[in-house]
Order: sequence, then structure tokens, then C-alpha cells
Amino acid sequence: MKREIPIALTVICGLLITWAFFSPSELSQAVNVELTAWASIFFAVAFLLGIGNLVRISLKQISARHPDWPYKALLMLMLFGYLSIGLLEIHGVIESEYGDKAYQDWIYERIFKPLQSTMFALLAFYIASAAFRAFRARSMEATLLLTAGALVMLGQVPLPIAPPEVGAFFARVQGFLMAYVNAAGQSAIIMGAALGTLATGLRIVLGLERSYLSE
Amino acid sequence: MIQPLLALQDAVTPWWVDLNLWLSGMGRGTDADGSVLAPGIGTPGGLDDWIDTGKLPTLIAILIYAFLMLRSQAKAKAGAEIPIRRIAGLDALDEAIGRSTEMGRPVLYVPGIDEIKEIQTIYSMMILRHVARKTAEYGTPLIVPVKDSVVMTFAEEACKQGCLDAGRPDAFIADNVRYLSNEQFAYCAGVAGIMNREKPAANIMLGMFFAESLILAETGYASGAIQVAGTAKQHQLPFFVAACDYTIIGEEYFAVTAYLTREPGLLGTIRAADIIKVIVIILFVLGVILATATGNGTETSPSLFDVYGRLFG
Amino acid sequence: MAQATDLDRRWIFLAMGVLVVGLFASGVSSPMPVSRYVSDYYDTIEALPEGSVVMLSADFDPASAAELFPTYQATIHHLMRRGIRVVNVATWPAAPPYTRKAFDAIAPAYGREYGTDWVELGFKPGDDVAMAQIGQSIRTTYPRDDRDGTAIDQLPLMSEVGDSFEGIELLLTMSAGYPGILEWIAQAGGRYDMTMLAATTAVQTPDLFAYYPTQLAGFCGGATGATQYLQLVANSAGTATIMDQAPLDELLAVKEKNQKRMVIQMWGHLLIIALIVLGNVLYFRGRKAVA
Repeated sequence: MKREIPIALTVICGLLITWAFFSPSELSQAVNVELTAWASIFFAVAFLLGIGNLVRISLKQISARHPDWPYKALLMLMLFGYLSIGLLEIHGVIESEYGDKAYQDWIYERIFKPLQSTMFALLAFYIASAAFRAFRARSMEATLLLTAGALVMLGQVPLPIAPPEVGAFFARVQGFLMAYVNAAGQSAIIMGAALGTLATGLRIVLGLERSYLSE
Repeated sequence: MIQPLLALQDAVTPWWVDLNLWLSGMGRGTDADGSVLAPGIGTPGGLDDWIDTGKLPTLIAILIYAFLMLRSQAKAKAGAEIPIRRIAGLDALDEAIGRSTEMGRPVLYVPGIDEIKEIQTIYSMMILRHVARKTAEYGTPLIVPVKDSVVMTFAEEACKQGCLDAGRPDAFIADNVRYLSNEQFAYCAGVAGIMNREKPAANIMLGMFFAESLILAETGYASGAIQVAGTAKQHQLPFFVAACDYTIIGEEYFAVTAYLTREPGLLGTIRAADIIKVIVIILFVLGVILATATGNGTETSPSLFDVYGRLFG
Repeated sequence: MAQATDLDRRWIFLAMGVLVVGLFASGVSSPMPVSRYVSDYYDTIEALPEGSVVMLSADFDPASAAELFPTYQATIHHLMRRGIRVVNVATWPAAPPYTRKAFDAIAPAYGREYGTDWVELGFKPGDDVAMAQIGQSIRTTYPRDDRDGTAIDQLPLMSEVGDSFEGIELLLTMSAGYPGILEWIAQAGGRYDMTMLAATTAVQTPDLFAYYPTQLAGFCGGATGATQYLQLVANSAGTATIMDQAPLDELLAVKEKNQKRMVIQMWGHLLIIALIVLGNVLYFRGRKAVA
């Protein structure tokens, strides 16, 4: 039964949502609204499962003095610290002259935002080292790939160091590569992947695919 | 497209115009002169109360696909041989796990950062089961960091089942399926931390990836791991191709379990997808020829019926 | 080959870091020619009748704000100048602090009022499921606004908006990834035939060409698209009656900053191309030596 009930639920819900996609009837739309609302609630509540896992593993490593324990301790401090500040601010236990959620905003502005921006900015460094290491003219295809990459990069930026005609030329080449070569390739990959997605989706909705559930 | 169609309709109203209107659901209800445009449309209790006629072609295509899939599966189960070409990235999966075993270091499996409702994530769970079976057979630890708590429960199940498949239920280590964070870059930093501190010898990254793909792949390269990545997310593919040893591209990703298990049902699905692809290619070529022949190529989305009407109407 | 891989990649990181920081300090800027995708984005907004209602979805976070927030600000300037009203939503949890800051700074300068000219419905969890819910019934999805919890039906603007995107002329998204433009295309474009515009991170931009112009009327890709759009909005800024010059001055400053960033990006791209060439030279020399 551990396997049959989830499969039955998957099939029923999958068919109902599919029905709602194709049918504008009031009944199908009402079912759809209800099921999507359940899904939202389910995802929100399931978040606690993750927190439980995180806390369990972290506390275990802290108490066992695992080599990574200081990181885990910092993680727990931030997790419960931010949560506590939020709760205390919402209930008016702590207040600030700078506004309703001033402490939360301070953490968001001074810690969260810079950390996120830094992580994203790492891409500039990694793309440079990956380009140096990986783009080799080993074959005709690889040569075409790196030439196209270089042309698109040149067409993507203004070239004040070159005559305007040169900039316009690279912009035209970039436009052509993106609008035709790239779009054609993208469409082909999207279509292939969409067929794969559809096939897997159909197998799941029809109850044929069960390997993602334990036996 | 509306104007030429209506002009044609005024002249003769050939069958393909009716069919096109009916299929596209255009002008649902009655025309300006009060005449019903297509049978069953716009009338109380009519077809359009129950089916969005604009989506009928999609429904028909899906039903054809489902039919082909079931037929191909039946054929495969009856013993028909369905060959799959060699995919280097998939052969490398076992090699990567073997290398980790030789070096006595863990295997890291990253199932992407999307939720379980994404088919690629579900598919990643299916592949994870296979990877867990292999690592359990070899006695190699498998670390699975996840970004979503629902995916975490699926990953636990997949790992547990993989160990059972290998006959080694004791090989399942619950603490190795780790929820890190629901934030993209916090998760990314967590995975990079595992790569640097626990030094897995093989990084397998299969699923839905976004901007974190290159950070993960480059960090994995720097840690000296053999890397196999795969996604159907086309805009992350170039990063994986540049930074990983093997990359599974686009729809190859959906052939992974069929390739690894040779299960007839899955092989039949691949065959059905290929048949549909051939049909789509034929329609493409036909569409291009018709659009070009009628001078309709400048239109952004010429209807095949409209082109047919202009040619033969 | 050996020489190429032996080079410590930290030298590359250092070169990129010095280049970017150095150019930031130098302050050279350059205008960009405008592509047709960006001019379509601009023209689609221009073509809307005054008083139209649009939905603006903030689907980004601090990581991608450098690329998307300038376009977000410029879009608000453009919409407010034209007297177009905005239903503001978000599917990324970290977006609302940005959206409130931008609207509060820009909209009042054009004499626009909260509730009548724009509403702030805030973040909705659930990704594409949330998008589907917004499409099905905005009232069920957002019974109250995110600003001070006002019931949605007490906001004058919302009396003109119904279910299934009724009353909404256009959907704009500032999309950093998932969920973003591709999910909006499926949930709003595919289901309700909504006209869509998008601003995306550079890495996501190649995806969009396959959807333009049928499902997507125009787009601003990455910092390049943002700069082009900022130029267009800044050029037409003089046509508006503005009550407070400060936000407009800020827009012009953002445009200038983006034009500087494009020069930095140019040198960054040239460095990457130089590294590719260097890597290949070392590779072929290594191969020759082995032979």
C-alpha cells in the first residue's frame, strides 16, 4: 500500500490537472484552483522537513566535534537568529526608530544582499578561467564554437576603441548568430527536451513510471 | 491571419477554413451576421463548454504521442530490439563511481535546484536510484545535497531503494542526503563547501540548473574531481560543456534510465519520441516549403491551413 | 598543453579583478546602439493607451539586481510617465524590498498615487503554481495587498482587474531564472494569450529568441539590453511633467553608470577572448613539443 496509494494519488491529480488544462468548464477550473492551492500549502509546510534535516545533521556534527562544526554552529546561529529577530519584530517585542522591520532589513541589506551579489559576481572570474582552460580549437566544431563565442562577445558590447563601422559589423554578426543560429539550435533542444518531458510526464500521470518511488 | 481567412470565407468557405476555425477556436460563438461559425461552438451545452477548442490540436498531438508510446512499449516488451546509440556521458557514470571507489573518496550527486514538480528533478531521482545502487555495490559513500525539502524526501527514498536494489540496505546513510538551503546561492556555496572539504572524487550533476552551474562545475574542477553533468536546461549547457569532463545534452538526459537499465517500457518511450520528432521535422519542412511558395514567409506565424488555402483555394 | 593547465587560475582571477576595479575607478562611458528587441520593448509600452493596466512581475533577487534593477526602475519611469497603471507582483521572495523602494521613489514624482495608479501585491510562494493561481483568480491569490494589508477590493485600481488577467493589457517580467519569463509564457502567454515583455539576465537571453516575436513582444537582455532601454527612456524623459526632479536625475545617473559598465564589460570580454587565444597558443605549442 505504501506504493499503491501515492501512485493512485499521482494518477488522479495528474489527470485532473490535465483535464483542467483542456477544459474551460467551471467544475474543472474549480478542481484546478483547489489542487493548486493545496500544492502551495503543501510546499510551504514541507519546508519544515528541510529545516528538520538541517538541524538534525548540524547538531549531530556540532556535538561530535566534526572538523566542520564551527561552520555548522554559525549556520544554526544565523538560522535561529534571523528567525527570532523576525518573530520578535512582528510581535513588537523589539522595536526600532528606523521602521517596522528595521533589524530584518538591516540583515537583508548588509549581509544577504552583498553575499548574494558576491556569489553571482564569481561567475565573471569562473567564466574567464573556464574559457582559458576549455575552449580549444581541437576540432572543426570546437573552432566554430569558440569563434562564434568570441563574435557574440564582441557584438554584445560597445566598441569605442574601434571605428563605428567595426562595432556595427560585430553587432550585425552577433544579431545574426543569436536570431538565427542560436534560435534554431535552442528551438531544437527545447523541442527534444519537451518531448522527453512530455513522455516522462505521461508515464507518471498514467502510473507507468514508478521507479522514483520506493518499493 | 484573420483578414485573409475571413476573405476566403466570404468567397467559398472551403472545408479547411471551417476546420481551421473549429480547431483554433477563433471567432467562437457567432459571426457578425449571426451565423454559427463551426459546429458545436458557441451553442449552450456545446463542445466548447467542455473542451477549449483552441487547445484541441495539442490534445490530439498528446493522444497520438501517448498511443505511439504505449504501442512502442508493447513492441519492446514483446522482444523487439530498440537500439540506442552510445552516449559517452552515460558510460562515464560508472567510470566516475569506479574511480571514487579506487581513491576511497565519496561520490557527490547534485540533483539540480528545482522542485519535485519539475520533470527533470523527478528524472534525476530515477537516475539517483541507479547511482545509489552502484555506490552501494562498491561500498562508496554517496553525498546528495538538496535545495528543496520535498526533493530531500524523494532523494532519501531513491538512495534507500538503490541500496536495497544492490542488496545492501546497510549502505544507506541518512545523514548523507542533506538539505542545505532554499536559497540558490546559499545552496551553491554549501555544495562548493562539500566539494572543497570532503573532496569527492566524482561529481555527478544531473537535473535543472541555473546560474550556479558554472560555479559548481569550476569548483569541482579545482577540487580535482571527475565531473559528469547533464541537463535539458539549454542555457546552462555551454557552461557544463566548458567545465565538465562529460556532458549529457538536452533530450539525452531523458534517455539516461533507458540507456542504463534497458527497460522495455523506457526504450519504447524513446522510440515514440523519435517517431514524433520525425513527424515534426516533416511538418517543418512542409511548412517552410508552403510558406515560401506562397510568399507568406514574412508572416510571423503563418497558419498551415491559410497557406493551403492560398495555394489551392 | 601542460603549460596551459599549469597556469594558476588565481592569476586569471587577479587579472579580471584588477581590470574591473581599475575601470570602475577610471569612469569611461560609451552609448550603445539600440537593438530591435529593446526598441520593441519600448514601443510596446509606448503603444499602450493612457490609463491601461499592466502587470509587472519582479522575479529577481539581489544576485541579479545589478542586471535587472536598472531596467525595473526605467520601466516604472516609462509606465508612470505614460500614465499606465501597474499591478505589481513578485514570485521571488527577495524582490519586494526592491519593488517598494523603486515605486515609492519614482511614482509620486509623476503625481501618481498608491491604490489608483499602482498596487503592491507582493511575493507569492509556489513559483509557476503561484503564476497559475494569479492567472486563475487574482483575488483568491492575493486577498490583501502587501503594503498595509488593505483588502484588495478596497483598492480602486483593482476594481478594473478580474480573473484570467481580465483588464490587464500587458504582462512584464524582470526575470532572473526560475520562475521567470519561460514560466510566465506557459502560464499567462499560453493559457490566456497575454502579450508579454521581459527583461532577463544575460545568461537567460539566448532562450528568448525562440519565443520572439510571437510569444514575446520584446525584451531587454542583460546589462546590454538594460543600457539600451535606459537610453531610450532617458531620451524621452523630457516630455513628461514631473513634480520631483530627483528620481529623474537618479535615472540619468543609472544610465550613465550602465554606460560605464558596458565599457568595463567590453574590456572583460576582450580579456576573455585574449585568454582563449592564449590558451590555444599554449595548447598548440604543447602539442608541437610533444610531437
